Amino acid sequence: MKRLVTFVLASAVASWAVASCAGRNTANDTANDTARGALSGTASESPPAISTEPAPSPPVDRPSVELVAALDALTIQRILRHGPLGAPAPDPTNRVATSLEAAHLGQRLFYDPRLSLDGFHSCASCHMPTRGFADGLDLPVPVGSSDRHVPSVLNAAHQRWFFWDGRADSLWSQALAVISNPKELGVGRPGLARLVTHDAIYRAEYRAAFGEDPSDAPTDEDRTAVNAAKAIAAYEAQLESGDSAFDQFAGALAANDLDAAATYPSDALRGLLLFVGRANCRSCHAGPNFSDGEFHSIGMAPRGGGKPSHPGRMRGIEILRADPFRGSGPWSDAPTSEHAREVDALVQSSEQWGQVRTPSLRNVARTAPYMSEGQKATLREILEYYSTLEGAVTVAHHGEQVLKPLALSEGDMTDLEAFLRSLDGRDPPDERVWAPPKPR
Amino acid sequence: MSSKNLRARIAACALVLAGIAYASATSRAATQENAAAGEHAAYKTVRSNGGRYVLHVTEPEGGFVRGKPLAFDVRVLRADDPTQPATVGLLVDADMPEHLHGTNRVPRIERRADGTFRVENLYLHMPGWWEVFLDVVESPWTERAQLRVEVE
Repeated sequence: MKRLVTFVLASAVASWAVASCAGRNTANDTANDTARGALSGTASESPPAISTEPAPSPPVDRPSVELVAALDALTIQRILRHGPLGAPAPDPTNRVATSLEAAHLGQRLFYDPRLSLDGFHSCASCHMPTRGFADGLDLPVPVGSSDRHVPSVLNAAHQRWFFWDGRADSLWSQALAVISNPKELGVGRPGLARLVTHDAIYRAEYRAAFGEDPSDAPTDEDRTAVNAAKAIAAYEAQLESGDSAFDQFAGALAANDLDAAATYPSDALRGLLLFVGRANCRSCHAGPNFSDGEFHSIGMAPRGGGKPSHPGRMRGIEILRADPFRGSGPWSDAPTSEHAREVDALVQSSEQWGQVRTPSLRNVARTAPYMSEGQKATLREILEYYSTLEGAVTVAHHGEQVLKPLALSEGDMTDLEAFLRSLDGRDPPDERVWAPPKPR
Repeated sequence: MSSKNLRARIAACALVLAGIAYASATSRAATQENAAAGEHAAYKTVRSNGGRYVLHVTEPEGGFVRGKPLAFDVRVLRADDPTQPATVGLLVDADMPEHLHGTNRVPRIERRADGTFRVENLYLHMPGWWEVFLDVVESPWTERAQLRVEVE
């Protein structure tokens, strides 16, 4: 038994160390970006000043000392499975996924309102840096009228499927779909190719990223648009949040630095213990991104009441398989890769009706409201739902039977909320967050 | 010694001898099964629920972990002749009994020339209790064997 405990601890510490070496910030990074400025006007304005003062070390939380000392090996192992975030899995379908030149072009496109039909909306209109790269609304107000809540693009490269129903299997095909959808940006592939081809700055940056000139000729426009979308994906892949208070706690735990671990607030720690324990939130919010990346229904009624009207994952798979811009399609840079071929192996069944992708919980406190239709305004409302499942609707014959009312006390909910707030990570560096200046 | 005692002693000896014979036969069968498993060191050996087959299953690299496509080998032997792989078909699936749902991917299964099966792309997306189903198909029978897997 003693050997088993030692092995479990050693494995957990080793996996933490490996993930830490994968290019993440160190535990010295401060957890909370307290200097984040408020957005005024459009996202392309000058960034607010960020304080460079080092944050003072938080004091030891006395109740946490006892809680940390009482952690058993299995609980520690389960905690360490949630962090650090590590590097995202590579996307072989996008040959410029890690290219800085492509990311630079993508960053400029991300903030450009000329991607919308009305000329006023860009990607950043819904994915606002000051709102955790979401929009703060229950439903978006873009060019048309989308009926899905805007998820954050922070850490988006860690997801395997995109949109609530997973109808896209890469960041670049997701971006292309939004640009093409008249209910969203809507300028379409011809419009995107035209913009990149006839704007001198874009033309130069495209050439730097792809080694060729863009073209909006009918035979070339799709190629140009796909490349531009791959550049946007390269930029989005750089939008990674830094270490959170939870990551620092887990890092201290992995290093067996119990004093440092005890600086984690006791309410957040109690919430974490509920999360990996009795509440079993980790069942779906698993892994370092606090999402299993897959699709579930928690029985939440749609905004208008009644049964879920969105087909969810069931239809998402159909759309994905028919999409010429999927990973195994002709525009992919690795159509026969294992990564791309995953689509062929997906199970499709009627029980997937209404299922949506498990959202990541990193930075969740910054991205209210919540759920795929923005049905819940606050974290507390979500916790209250999980506590009682009041108003839950049955979706499928089998469905998720693991979901039971958690009967959380007021204290439990306060602790869980404190834990969720401790997942707030630092924003990416300023130079990645705002529209790049135009060259002089 | 009374004849009653003598009969009791004879019965006891017979029981012991029968036990030794059974253990020896079981050991021989196990040795034969292990020999048939050859270089495929089994992570688990399971018998199909109908008792017709014995399956040797290797462990995926890194174990049965969450959120990664898993690959492993399965060698199917007849329980009554565990000296060589049985010429059968194999289906693989997985289910979470507590959740009443299964896996989101269809595993790939390939039969190799040596009679073993290579299973790839088994994907267990959630932590918890999974049952991995190994269905041996030999018309007109299909017999199921299963592994209980706890995924963290």
